[in-house]
Amino acid sequence: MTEEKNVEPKKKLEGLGKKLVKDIEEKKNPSMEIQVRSLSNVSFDQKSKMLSLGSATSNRYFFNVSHIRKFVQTIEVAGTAKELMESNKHISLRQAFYKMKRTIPNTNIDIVEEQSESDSALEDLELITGCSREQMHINAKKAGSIAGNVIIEDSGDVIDWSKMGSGGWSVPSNVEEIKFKKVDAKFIIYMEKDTMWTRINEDKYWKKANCIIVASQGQSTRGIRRLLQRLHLEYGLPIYVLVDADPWGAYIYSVLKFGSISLAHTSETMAIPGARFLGLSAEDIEKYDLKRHIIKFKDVDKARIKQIRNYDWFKNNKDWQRQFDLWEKFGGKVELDALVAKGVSFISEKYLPEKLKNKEWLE
Amino acid sequence: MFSWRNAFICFSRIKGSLIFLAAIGEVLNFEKMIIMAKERAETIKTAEELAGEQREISVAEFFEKNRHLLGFDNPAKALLTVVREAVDNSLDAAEEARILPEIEVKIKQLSEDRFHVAVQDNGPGIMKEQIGRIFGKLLYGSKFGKGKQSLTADAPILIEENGKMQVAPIGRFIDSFVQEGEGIKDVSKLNIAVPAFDWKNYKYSFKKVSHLIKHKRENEVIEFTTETNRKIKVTGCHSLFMFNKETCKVEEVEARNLKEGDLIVSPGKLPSGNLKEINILNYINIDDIKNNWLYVYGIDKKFLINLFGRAGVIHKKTDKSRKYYRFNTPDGIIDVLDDSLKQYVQKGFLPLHLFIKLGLKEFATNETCIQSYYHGSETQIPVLWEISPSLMRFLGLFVAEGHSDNRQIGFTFGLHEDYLVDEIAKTARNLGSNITIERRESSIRVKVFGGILSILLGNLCGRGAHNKKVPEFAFRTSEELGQYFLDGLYQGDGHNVPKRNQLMLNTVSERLANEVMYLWLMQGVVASVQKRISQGLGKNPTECFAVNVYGNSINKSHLFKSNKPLKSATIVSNKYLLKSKSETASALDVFLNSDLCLLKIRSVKVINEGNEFVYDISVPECENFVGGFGGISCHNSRGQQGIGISAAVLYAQLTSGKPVIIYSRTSEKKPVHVFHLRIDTVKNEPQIVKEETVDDKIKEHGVRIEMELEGKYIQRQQSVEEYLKQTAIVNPFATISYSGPENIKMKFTRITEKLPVQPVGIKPHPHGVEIGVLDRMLKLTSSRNLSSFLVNEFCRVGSGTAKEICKNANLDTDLKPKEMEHEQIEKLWKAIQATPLMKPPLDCLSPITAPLLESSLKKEFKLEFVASVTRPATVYRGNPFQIECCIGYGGELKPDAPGKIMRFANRVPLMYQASACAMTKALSKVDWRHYKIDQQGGMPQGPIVVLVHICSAWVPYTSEGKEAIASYPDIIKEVKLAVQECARKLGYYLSGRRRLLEQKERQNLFEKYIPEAAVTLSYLSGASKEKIITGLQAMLKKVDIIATDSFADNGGKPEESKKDKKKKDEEIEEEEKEE
Repeated sequence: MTEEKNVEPKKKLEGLGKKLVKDIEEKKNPSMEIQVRSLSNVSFDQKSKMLSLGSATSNRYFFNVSHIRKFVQTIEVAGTAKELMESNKHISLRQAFYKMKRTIPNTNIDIVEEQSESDSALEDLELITGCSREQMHINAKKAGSIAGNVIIEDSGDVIDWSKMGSGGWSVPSNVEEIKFKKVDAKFIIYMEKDTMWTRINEDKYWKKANCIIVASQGQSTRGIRRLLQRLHLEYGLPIYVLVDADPWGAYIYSVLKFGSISLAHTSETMAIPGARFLGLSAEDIEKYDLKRHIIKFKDVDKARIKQIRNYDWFKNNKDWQRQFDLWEKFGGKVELDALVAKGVSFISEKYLPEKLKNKEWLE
Repeated sequence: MFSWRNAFICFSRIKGSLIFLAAIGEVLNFEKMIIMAKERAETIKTAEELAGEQREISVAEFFEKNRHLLGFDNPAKALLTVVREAVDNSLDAAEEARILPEIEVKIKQLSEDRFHVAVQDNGPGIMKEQIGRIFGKLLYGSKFGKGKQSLTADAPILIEENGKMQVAPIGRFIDSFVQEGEGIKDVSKLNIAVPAFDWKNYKYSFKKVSHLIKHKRENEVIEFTTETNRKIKVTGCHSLFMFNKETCKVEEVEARNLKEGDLIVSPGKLPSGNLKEINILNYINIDDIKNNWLYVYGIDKKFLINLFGRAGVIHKKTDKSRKYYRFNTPDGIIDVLDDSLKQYVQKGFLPLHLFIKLGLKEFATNETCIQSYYHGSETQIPVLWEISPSLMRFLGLFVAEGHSDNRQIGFTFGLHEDYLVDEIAKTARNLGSNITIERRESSIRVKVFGGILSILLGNLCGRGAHNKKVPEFAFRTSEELGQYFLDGLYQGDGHNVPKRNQLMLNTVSERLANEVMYLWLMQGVVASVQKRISQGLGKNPTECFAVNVYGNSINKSHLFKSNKPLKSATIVSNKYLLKSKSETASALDVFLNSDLCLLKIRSVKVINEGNEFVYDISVPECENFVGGFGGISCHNSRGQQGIGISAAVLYAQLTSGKPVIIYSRTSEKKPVHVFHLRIDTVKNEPQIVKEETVDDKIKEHGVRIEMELEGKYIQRQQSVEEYLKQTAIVNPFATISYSGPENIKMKFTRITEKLPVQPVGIKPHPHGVEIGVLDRMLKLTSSRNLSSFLVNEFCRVGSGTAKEICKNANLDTDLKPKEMEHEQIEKLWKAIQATPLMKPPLDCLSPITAPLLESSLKKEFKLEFVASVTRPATVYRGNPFQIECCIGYGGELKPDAPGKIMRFANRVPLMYQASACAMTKALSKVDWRHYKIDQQGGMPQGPIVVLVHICSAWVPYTSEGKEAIASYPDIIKEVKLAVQECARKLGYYLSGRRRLLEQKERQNLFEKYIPEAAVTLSYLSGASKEKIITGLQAMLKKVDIIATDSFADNGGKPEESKKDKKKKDEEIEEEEKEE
């Protein structure tokens, strides 16, 4: 039995199938049109302050040696999605990978060999159908930790984020169904490092400052980004971002604020143009005497800086260019964890209050 | 004109070497011969007996010693050589008769080393008379034998070269071809002819010369003087013809066996021609007229309009833009101004130089004349001259009494010769010129003005007393017209010596003396030439030549008109015949009506000094020529050409002891003649031991030769099959069938009905001329200055190029060729080599052509791929040659064997000595891997066949065996380029083939995905799985979908663009370096 909300995505999937069969009937090389997902087809919309996908498309053909593998993976994931929708069940990306992974009889060809292939196929399918993977019943694993004065309802269960112990609540992939029952917190602090979140959580900083603290390990998941966007949009909570003072940290911030390049099509549902960069800024390094904790840049780091500072959304931003200049001057990065060297609770007792009080952030 | 034919030249050509020895037998006493033959047939000896006798047999001994050269060095090769000689002969015979050859080869194995070989063709058949000569006689040229015969250098001979006649000492003539030391030059491709008598009726005609021979004197030289003062110097072993009074036969006799009183055969009459008209422009060089204002009038206006209508139009800007008509002539580009043209058309004329340059000589009509102006008066000389009696007398008188300078010609007569003045005046006026007559105290001077006339007569008759000559065309006119010339000549310079019944002509021109003598011979009058030193009138003594003729009653002023007394000179000589036996009267009759006469030897002188070199020429059909003062028939010993098949006959005879059987049919209406032939190894002469006629064996016409011989049967490389296969490939117009031992049957069917093109003759190319030849050409040319010499005697030299050569040589264009010194000649030669010239014209060679080669090769091996190229003709040491290459791949060729290499020269397979051959060397220089072809030891490996063909007028073989091409760098380079060009195409093909394989792999890939994709698609779309599978699989077969648009890798290389040839060659060379 198909639920009503699934009708649209399912139709889209079937439409794809019908289009391909029509190609075959017309003796045309079956093909699907996919928007190009690369920097060249991504532009920064000055008005909305978000990344958006351009109109460039490429065709993926069945009868093409370099296309066929992806072609089959794409329809395979589409088939999987259709099946999930029909049974109204959800699986994870990893599970989707396993659902697709098999060897074609009498050959040595695997439909997919690594999860990255099925993930990528799914992302392509999102572009083709215009439906998100969550809509197609494939979710990422839950991730990250969250704590704060908020009560939500998820799948019929009421969850109080202020009572999640030392681990916090982990954010599922699909946060569309979550209902906010009570939101007392006044702002959100998002941090790159789960370890730092644990530290702050132990200090119960969120209680003192009445905020929500969120962390993911590394790049934030779609679930977290969507959740943050909803809190930001639905409850007007400002979001402050804490990341390492290095290009990777900067890009985490960038994705959160402007959207990601590879998922530029999701910007509207995930990007948070109002997010603020709190730290670690290059100025912090000087101000809090963190220079001795600098770890030398590797070549990849340097290359990445060059790349990032030339992104349209950073290129004309003087503040950020100054950050990059200073990084290059330092010749190394400083991680959030370095703050601990100043004192175990230095971050919650001194750094965060000072920064917020002095409004030392970048818009 | 040179005629560079590159037909087959193996050892032999049937038609080329017809010699009529057997004909004598038929004419004189054929029956007797048959009786002899029958006697011999009963006493045929076994091989062992013959072998035992070999040591004493010169021919057999010679054969033994030269077996390896002739291709009989081992039993397997011998079998192949026999077949090869027979098949090559058959192909030649059919091709020359323009018959599509059909050849059948049968080999039966009789015992382990004994075979029966039969080769049959559909050629024109061979006349009975020719059979002996073709198959029977193992002729020994001086290259094989030892200095057999020859004339000394000073013997003058009458030669026709490129249509023009001359009399030249044999030494000077041959030296120009064979410069240093001994040598034989094959000149069968050049148009050189000498008078030779036909054995059947003893009539003289001009026959082509095949070889010029020069060797060191090894024997004594004997000088014979006959009555009528003819002289000839020959080496002691040289053959002359003697009349045997007993048998009434003409026999060859070695000179040293002749003694005083013997009768030797001498030409009594040489053939004359029937030329009736000359085009004077043929005797005028462009440089002769460059400073004169001469115009050709009487040209049809329509002709002119037509002519210019075909020309291109260009505009040149000088002071203003002018319109020109552009002509591309062999001598370069000629532009004619538009305004000039209008004039030309209006009045129907052209400047003479333009007329000649545009090659319009041939279009002259009776209306065409040359107009010139002198002192305000205009003269008109017709272009076409009828050769009238008065003209001939006029020329005779001119040679005797005349002289020419820049503007006029003059005659000086004694007062008593008044009657001649009127005659001259009349003839000159008829030719359109003005004359003045000036009477002096003791002489009368007649001056003839007429622009071109002085140039023309100078060219025709020589300038100055020492250079006087007989106009070339006088040798080509009728007997009667020749008489008028002599008449005129003797009127002027002749002396009657009635006492001695002698008519004498004195001249200081050796050339004139010799030429007059031959002119007399054409009249059937035997003259003699004597050289003496004239003391003159106190000045330095000069050489003087006297031409003497003897007759009963000579009246100098009416030489031929009264009783033709001189004719009797021949009859006088022939009176000896009357003494011979009466039963041979019919034979005598032939002789009496012949062009031969008999002369009694008056004295014999043996000379043992001087004469370092002696000379001979080979006339294939007749084996005789006229040489010496006054002409004595000489027999030349080198029948050449015929050596191939007769060697096969001899081999068969020596190894089996059995005669060879020849079947011949010349027409459907005639029976098949069967001849059992053997070679008398003592006399080196053919003998027909049995003759009969049958009705079967040959349909329509053709020749079949059957012989039994010792051999060894092998297969594969160097086998008879392989030879036939290769022969069939390069002779795609022939059908060859073969049945051999072990039940092998093969048939190669022709793939074209087109016989090879007969090549056109060309003049020699300057880059191919050796310095000695150049020297000779300079001496013999009729051109008056260096630049016209270059233009007239060579191809690809126009006046511009000639000037450039002269400039490069730092020589004056007006130098007289005949007066050039050795240093100048050397400079000239170097300049010629250094001056870039167009290659010789292609049409002097007859390649197989690339498309034919391709289909031929493809058919033979069922090839998967074939590429071929016919390179443009080029030159090695100035000899034009052309390389063709064809490369085949796949099919029936073995994939893991060494590549197959096939070499050909003038359509004949070269099957031995591969490693010594220039072609092999060129192949090993190619980097085969570059073209995706495996390589081992420098040679291609795998299912590949490489065919290389050289065609050339002179194929440079490494040896007489004709099995390998000499390694001239030019040849190697050309072969390499040809091979690379083909290999490159193959390379492209092979990479394309790899692409195909890849494509196949792709198809497999798609095929594997189809069921998987279909399940999902069916689920997604609701369409049936089967329908989707069928649809996709149908598309799989549509290669265009598979191979086009969506493929990321780029398909084949783009097609070869049309770059200019040279660049392409360079690229090919570069290509490999890049690797």
